[in-house]
Amino acid sequence: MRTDEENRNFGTTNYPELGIGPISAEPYYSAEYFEREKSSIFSKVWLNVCREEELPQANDFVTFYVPSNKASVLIVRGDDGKVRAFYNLCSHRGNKVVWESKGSSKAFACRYHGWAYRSDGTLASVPDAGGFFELDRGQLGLTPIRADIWGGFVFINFDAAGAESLSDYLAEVGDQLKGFPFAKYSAWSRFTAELRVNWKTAIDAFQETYHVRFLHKRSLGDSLTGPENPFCHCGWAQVYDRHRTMSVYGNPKYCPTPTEALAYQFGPSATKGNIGQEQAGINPGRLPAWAFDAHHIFPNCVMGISAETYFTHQFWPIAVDRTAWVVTNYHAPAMNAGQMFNQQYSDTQLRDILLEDAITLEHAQEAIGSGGKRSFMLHDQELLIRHMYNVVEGYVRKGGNSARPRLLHKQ
Amino acid sequence: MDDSKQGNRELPADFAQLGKFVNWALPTQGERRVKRLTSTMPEIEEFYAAILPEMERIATYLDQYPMHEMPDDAKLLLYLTYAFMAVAPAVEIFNEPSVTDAAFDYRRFVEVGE
Ligand code: FES
Ligand SMILES: [Fe+2]
Repeated sequence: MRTDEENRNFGTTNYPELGIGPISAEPYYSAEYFEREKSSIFSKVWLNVCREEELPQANDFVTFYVPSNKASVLIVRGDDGKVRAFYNLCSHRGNKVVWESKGSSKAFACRYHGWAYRSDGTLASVPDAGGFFELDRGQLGLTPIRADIWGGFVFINFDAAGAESLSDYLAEVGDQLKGFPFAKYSAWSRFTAELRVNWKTAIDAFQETYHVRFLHKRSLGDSLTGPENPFCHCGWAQVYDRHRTMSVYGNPKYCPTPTEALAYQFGPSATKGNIGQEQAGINPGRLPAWAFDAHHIFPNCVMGISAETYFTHQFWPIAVDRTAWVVTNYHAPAMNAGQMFNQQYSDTQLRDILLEDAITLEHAQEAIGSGGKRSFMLHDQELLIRHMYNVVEGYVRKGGNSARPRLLHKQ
Repeated sequence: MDDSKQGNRELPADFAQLGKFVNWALPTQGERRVKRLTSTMPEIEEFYAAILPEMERIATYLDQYPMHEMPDDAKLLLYLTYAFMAVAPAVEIFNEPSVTDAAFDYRRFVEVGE
């Protein structure tokens, strides 16, 4: 039997500046707090939006809506191969220039009055141009949004005046992921859902495994718990200045269902209890019984990295109690039917597990919204939630002008 | 829309005995999900019990074709196995079509790009 002391050795007390007391419930339901998050976080930091493989060729593009910034965004690869981001917004009188969600085009013609832009965002032509008074074409391209690529992930930053590079922003979490062959897993399966939850209520469910034994007792069985780890303690965690990483224990004695076993024999699985994986970019704590890592890239991206597969979540705040959720499961392109079985099972399993989360989170938000609780309790195992709470607070209190938050590491 | 939906709805002759399940052979994840949710447990169990013992044989059969050059009948068989992978947890884990009887409708998960 573990002592309480042993059960509290996850690391919260290594970070005295994070505290050990309850956290305020207000950030989870206050509309006023939410407005401050939008201006001080979502308008200031790098945001992970898609994979570079979604626009492999020159002139390929994707568009999407970022609700926190009320922005339709166009990401397009120019003739020069460079990926750029723009407000999808016409310089004439503001029409949304590209209406398709993806495609390939050398030029984009606005449907309203026909102004046309090149794939590098510059203005190509203006119908009946002679009728305008001062038409400075060089100034009338699409308005750029800062964009950069790390490890094949496209990030954007709405802060036109921001100076921090993407690689400086990712810092330690970037180092942690270095070497993981993301590009190899170019076959993806994606779903979206609009949840009636605060964006942090949603993310918090992916920052701890305390809930696994209870909420996922059916979908996950004892794949991530077991006699040696009955409460699904994480095996390893590290919090950084803004981001954080945790490694999830996998039960080596887990007995898969018949179909799961069939799927496993053809390929990877996040519940397989991968033993002693030493591939680059995974299992930083070198846990002997390891299932997957979850990297939390501030503010709204979670990457779940397993051996030979990975998934991402993005949580896009819409309102204090509404979030657009995007989940993508990435696989290596299947070479045979067995690998397809494996991927289909993995996609099904992920959806079943996440449905259990989604249901619960909406109930939680509904209850939180009452304001009947002013604070919440956090377990040592909920260190990552405590950390994110503090990072968000840091941004919100300093109005987004904060220098990089610094944590004191005990070790 | 996938041609196998309109065209030939015959499984390969080697698997003719699975013909009664051909309406499970749906080309997209979203459609297979809806099929799982709108079927009864006896229907799902019957489908599951018929396909599980055939999976190895199906894998061997399908592997005679390159993944992206399957004839229509083989593709239909492939989709049948995808549907199997989509419903197996309903039988093996949940004992009901969805994961819970709570109010969240699975159809709120919207598949993208299929
Ligand atoms: S608004 Fe685009 S051309 Fe007028
Ligand atoms: Fe969960």
